[in-house]
Amino acid sequence: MAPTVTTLTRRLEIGDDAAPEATRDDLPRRRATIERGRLRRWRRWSGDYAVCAVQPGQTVAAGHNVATIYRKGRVRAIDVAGALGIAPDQVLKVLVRKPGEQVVEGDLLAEQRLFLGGRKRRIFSPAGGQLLYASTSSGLAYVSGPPSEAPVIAHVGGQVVTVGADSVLVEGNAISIAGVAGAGRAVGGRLLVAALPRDVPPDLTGSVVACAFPLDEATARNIATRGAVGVIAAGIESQAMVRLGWDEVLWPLVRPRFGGPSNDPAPPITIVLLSVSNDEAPEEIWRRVTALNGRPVSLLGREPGASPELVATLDGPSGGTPAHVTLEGMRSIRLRSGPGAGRVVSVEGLLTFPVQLPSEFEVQAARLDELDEYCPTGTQPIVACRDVQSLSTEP
Amino acid sequence: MTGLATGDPGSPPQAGGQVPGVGSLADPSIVREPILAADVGSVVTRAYLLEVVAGSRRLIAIGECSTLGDDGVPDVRGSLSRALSECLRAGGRTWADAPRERALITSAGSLPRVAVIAPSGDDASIATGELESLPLVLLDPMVLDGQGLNPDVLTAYLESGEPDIVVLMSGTRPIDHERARGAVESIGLGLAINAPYLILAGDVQAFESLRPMVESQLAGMNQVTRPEPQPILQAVGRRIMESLYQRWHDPADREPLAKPGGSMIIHSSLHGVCVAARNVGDRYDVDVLAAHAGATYTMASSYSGPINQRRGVNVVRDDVGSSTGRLALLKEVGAASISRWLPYDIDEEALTDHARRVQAAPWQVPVTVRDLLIDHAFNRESLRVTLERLARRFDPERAWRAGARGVPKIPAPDLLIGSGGALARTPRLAQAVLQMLDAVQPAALTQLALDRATAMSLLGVLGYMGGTSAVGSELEHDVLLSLGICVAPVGVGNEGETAIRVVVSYSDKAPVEIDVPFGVIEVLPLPLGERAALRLYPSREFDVGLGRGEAAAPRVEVQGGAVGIVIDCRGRPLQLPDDDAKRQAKLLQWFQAMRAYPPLTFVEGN
Repeated sequence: MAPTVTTLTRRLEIGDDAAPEATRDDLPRRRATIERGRLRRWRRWSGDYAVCAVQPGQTVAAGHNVATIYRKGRVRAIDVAGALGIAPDQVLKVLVRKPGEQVVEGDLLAEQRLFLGGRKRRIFSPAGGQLLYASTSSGLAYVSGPPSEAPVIAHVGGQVVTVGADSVLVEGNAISIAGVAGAGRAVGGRLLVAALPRDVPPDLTGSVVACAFPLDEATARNIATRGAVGVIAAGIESQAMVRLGWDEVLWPLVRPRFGGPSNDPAPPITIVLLSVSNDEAPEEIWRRVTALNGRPVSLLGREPGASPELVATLDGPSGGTPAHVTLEGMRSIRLRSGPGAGRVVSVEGLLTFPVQLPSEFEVQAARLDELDEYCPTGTQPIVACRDVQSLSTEP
Repeated sequence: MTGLATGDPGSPPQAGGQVPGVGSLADPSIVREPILAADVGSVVTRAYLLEVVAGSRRLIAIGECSTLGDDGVPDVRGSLSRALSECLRAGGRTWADAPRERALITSAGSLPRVAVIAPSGDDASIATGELESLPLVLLDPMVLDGQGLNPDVLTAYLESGEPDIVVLMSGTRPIDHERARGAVESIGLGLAINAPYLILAGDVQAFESLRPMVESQLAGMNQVTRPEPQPILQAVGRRIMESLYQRWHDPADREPLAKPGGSMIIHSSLHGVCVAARNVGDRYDVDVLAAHAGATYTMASSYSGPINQRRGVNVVRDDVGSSTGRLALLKEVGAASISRWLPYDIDEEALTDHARRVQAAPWQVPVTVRDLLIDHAFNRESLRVTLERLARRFDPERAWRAGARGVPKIPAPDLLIGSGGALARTPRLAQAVLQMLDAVQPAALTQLALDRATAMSLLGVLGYMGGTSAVGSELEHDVLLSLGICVAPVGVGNEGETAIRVVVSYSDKAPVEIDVPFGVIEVLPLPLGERAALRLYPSREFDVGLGRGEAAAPRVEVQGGAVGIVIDCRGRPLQLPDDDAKRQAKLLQWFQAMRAYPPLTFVEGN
């Protein structure tokens, strides 16, 4: 006889390898973090060609244009043979402009005389650009639109360290608040902090809005339509994410691209989220964000080689005491790599540890207990916080 | 069998240049040496140390870490260093005495999306038939008739599919040539932004008049097939290798693995998995199905048929990976398809929230059993939809719809291999077995194996370069863990009534006889290295390969495995009760029977 739900549950409960069920608070996640000090930030770009506007050693402000990228214009196919009622191989005879010539919208492209030259059929260019090619196979003419150009701005103010063919590295004193998800290019604006939805003012032109609360749909739409260039929020309501279609922009199809960059959907504004659910902002992080209210900041959603973050360039030579990734409050952790990977151990203490990362000079590390078998006698295991995963209360 | 053994995916590229310091992939001198290898994935980087032990090459140590840095951005160089250091330390080596021979395996830059455009369905079939043995994402072909003749339709097809490579068939008739030439113009001129790589195939003379335009608009991004066997397969293979070498051309990226004076192999990990599955099938003369669940992509590889007429079909999906494709999978199959594998209630919002968290941080391990179960539910569905795509290759006439459930009609495998991190990293082997059985639903008798070492791609690459002598059976056993055998009678019966009687005759103890009712899954122990004779007596409604109710006994003794003999009488096709409480009870019952999870207490209110 098949067991009932009750008997089955009882059978399962008396198993010999019962494991305590952890609470939801144990769900690990990449945490929003704060860095402060001398930060290095790459700006990378892709395009058909680019002109770099800075040189190594040059000092730039946040928002300074470090390069301009140019992309080919969109090509339009015009059915000349079909529209004029001629055979495809006659197309070159009716064109009044030659392939390679520049045309503007409304220019006469081709004409066909009818009835002994008394009447004419004409085709005008639907867009400005270059007449690329006329096909005698298909009877189509192709007009390429004008190339588009886009500026690449410095994400952090400071000194240009290196300039490459498709990148610029800038180093400066700054504070960075990194989110766990983001979308959109780097933008600059004045930070406007809102503790509640009603605190969001009507005019947000050119500003970066920081929301201490999880975004609801109405607030998100308001921010996007009132002229803001970006938003950093503590979290977002699930239904708002679905209705706004932000899942597609925050997590576009991530695949190891074979060729060029994928055509990710563009977000309405640059977005950075400190958590991906209906969370309030962590107190420590929000205190830092509030302190930046009214200051010019940069917000980067996602670009090649960069993670979502809010950056404010600091005045003064040192930028104050660095406040690195914090492990405060973390007592039980799982090791993600290195000796003892997979083990769950206790944090005994914290220290500053000189680990070279692409974007920071040192990180905070955990001094651990319970890993003696992996360490020589008399030494104590130290693991950088990038290699641990919190199993207890998040800071 | 396809032409892969001598094909181009493993040959140095004709264009794009030889990577300095990279040895010839066909160099036979490398096959007997220790080797230090790394597999760089989008989410996880793994390093492998292979030593020669008693004349055989063996897998000694593995190092593993996230490819993503703490900021969520790929850190290839850093992850290579960490994984290799960990591997060498575990293997008792230092950098100073690390093996001279190196291999770099990667999926980055090796998985193209390929579109076939042809004047007729027959031409399209020729191209897709040649390409089915390569690991790539093959889009539905576009036939140049009817709507396909509209340049806007063609452009929309290419813009929505985002192919990396377009294979354009010339056709045979003059009108076909005209249409193909029109398509070339649309691709070369209409897609100036992100134009795909264009391969012109068939009667290539038909394209001669377009060469100047193609060369100006797609400079370095086009290829004309050569007169050789399977020209389309070879041309696409060449392009894959070009891309792979271009991706790793920067010495800084591969510097942690490079050794001055030493050679380095660079190869596609996806191709490695396919070749490993094929080689295992050839070695044991069995039909193989490999189900691969990686963080970024899933793949199903089938090798079936007589040894000299073996058909290899691969299907890759890059949108439903076990970590990075969860939202897309949820959208495709719906929340109900995921939650049906969970023994507790969960709503769509909670599943979406979970999927978002995993996509935000793909390199994380589940902490609670609930999260583990959700992971496994997603894995089941991502494998299932991939297998459905595979089934379309074998059964193209069948009407398929997205998210449709059912047993894919793929050739029944003798050996089912599970691979990829999502399966290999399960805390208990029974969890991997259940996922494989639920997704594939093998019928009758099927041997089960798991790429527990996540080194199947390395196995394939070594086998591809050096042949079977480079991959001894010892190394094969280091990588592929035998899980046991699955007995799954086909049919549907009444709940609780006996579906099959199984008699297991061990060599060193009394035989075991067990009646397994319909709707139940049971496991009988048969440890690794042991053998036993099986006799199967299905009831009238069930078939184990010889017809309904016909008793059967394998001609040879079956081999043991890490899980044992799994008797899966849940029916084929597997049917879950519609009622939520009954379905959850069933799942709990199956999990308990397999001892797959710690005791679960999800059922509330009872």
